[in-house]
Amino acid sequence: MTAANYCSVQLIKDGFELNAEFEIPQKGVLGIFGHSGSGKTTLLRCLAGLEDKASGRIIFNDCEWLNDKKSLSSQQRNIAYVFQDSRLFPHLTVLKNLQYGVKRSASELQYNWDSLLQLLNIENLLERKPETLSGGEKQRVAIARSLLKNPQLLLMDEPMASLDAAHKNEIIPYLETLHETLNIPLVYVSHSLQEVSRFCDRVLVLESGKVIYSDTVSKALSSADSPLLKTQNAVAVFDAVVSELDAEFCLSSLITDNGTVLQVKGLHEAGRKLRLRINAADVSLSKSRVVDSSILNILLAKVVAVVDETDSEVLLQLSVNEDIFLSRISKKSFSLLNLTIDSDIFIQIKGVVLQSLLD
Amino acid sequence: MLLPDLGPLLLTVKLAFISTSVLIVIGTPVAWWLATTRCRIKPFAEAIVALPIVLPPTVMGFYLLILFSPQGALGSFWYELSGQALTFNFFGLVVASVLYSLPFVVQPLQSAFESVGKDLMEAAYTLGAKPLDAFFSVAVPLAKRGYLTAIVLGFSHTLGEFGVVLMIGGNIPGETRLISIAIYDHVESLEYAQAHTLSLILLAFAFVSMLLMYLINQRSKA
Repeated sequence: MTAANYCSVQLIKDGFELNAEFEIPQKGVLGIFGHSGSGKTTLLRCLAGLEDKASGRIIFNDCEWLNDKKSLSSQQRNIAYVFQDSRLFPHLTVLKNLQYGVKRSASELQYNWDSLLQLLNIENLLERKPETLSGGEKQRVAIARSLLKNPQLLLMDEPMASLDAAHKNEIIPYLETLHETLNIPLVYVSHSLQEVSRFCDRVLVLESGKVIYSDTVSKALSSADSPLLKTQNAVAVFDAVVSELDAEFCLSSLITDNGTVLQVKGLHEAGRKLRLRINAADVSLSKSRVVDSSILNILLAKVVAVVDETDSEVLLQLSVNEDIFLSRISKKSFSLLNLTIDSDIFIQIKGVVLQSLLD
Repeated sequence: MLLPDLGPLLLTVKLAFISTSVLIVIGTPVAWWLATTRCRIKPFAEAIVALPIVLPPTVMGFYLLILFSPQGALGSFWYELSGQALTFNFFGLVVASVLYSLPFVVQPLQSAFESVGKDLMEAAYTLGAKPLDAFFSVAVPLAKRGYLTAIVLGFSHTLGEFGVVLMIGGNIPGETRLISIAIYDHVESLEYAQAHTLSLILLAFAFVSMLLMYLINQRSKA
């Protein structure tokens, strides 16, 4: 492989064998998804240089981090790592914690200190000691601390795993904003499909220490061969840019990379990239374009495949300009509509859920 | 009445001060290694470090005397190097005290380093700190109470040593005549008043240092 950022690591530790090979993207968020014990954290630690017994080859930005002859230590790899348990230094104030990495960074800071603190909403915590912070605050400080170290690659190990639902909701918007603004690649380890579908651009599925699947998040959630295609509660996700606004009815039109246009409620900033989420259960089908319907988004699609079948329902893949939608309909409707692969059909989307809602 | 005894008192404080300083310097890497190693010889190393706690001081003094004497392994080497013997002088006392008080410094440091753990050290590495930098900026400040305990214990323990000192130091005024030996001398010559004065000083000091240590530890639990 000759990709610029490439990682192939092997490690045997406590009877567990990790053997993973993948490309690290130049930009965007790579999710590493897997159940507990699948080796996600170990893989991330190998990338970070925290496992000294790891072997293989890691090349990042034309720099050999690991090969047969050498293994760069963590501090030589120019990474930053957000741990599950934040790991703030208890003897230092929040401010000193933030400065720890800044002082030791070789390169000029590419983030504006004030705006980053504002973005993560921690400007008022600077004089506090970590022990006085809530779980969510700790994790926000840890994220800021890692970014202020000015890394070339950011690694996050289930940053929300130790938080309760309320604190998760406190962090999610910040991670979504980071996803939009970050200009370095981020590797995000998670066992939550919801997190992966919200922040990640690509996803790599790990099972028993091996990469069993790797693709874009949209494909991973909608392809029949993907282990992430949930037959229950299936969803399709799309990244789309706000293209037109309808002030009268307070609607925004969004266009995907493939040119599919969808309307959502609310006025959003033109040009802004948003992630849309459409549940398979919210997509119904019709042979002809229904004109007297309350549904805003009606698109002409082609049937691609039947990806799942139960006694009473079928899950269909439908393509519009190469964007894959999922629809769950009853077996009876499927039979009445007389659908086959490549049939043309109108899809009616009842609900489009926006994911980046930070304004 | 007190004046002639000021010598042993000052000598003892000087010995304790020098020994404790040397112990902190030597004890730190030993304790760090013991706290972090997964090497199989760790229990052996721990047992050797802990020996002075259970060994009768005279036994240790006896072996050190043999080792330090100008014919002994260490003593002859030192004699070649410096032209001086290791026995019956102040320098020999420092070496002996360091060995004798080693567990009292290493053990609190080791447990302090163990409670720092590797997680925070890893966090420091990923933030760009080199190992030595991470050690001084994270491990040492977090082991602060361990250091205070080690200093108090190392200092007080050196202050009170008797058996080892008697075996290898003897009783040379201004050179090896320490406070505990002076007390012994006074009692032998039935000078109870002088023995009282010196003993009270040691008793008061011992109590204050133990109190200090427990106050430090209590605050760390609170």
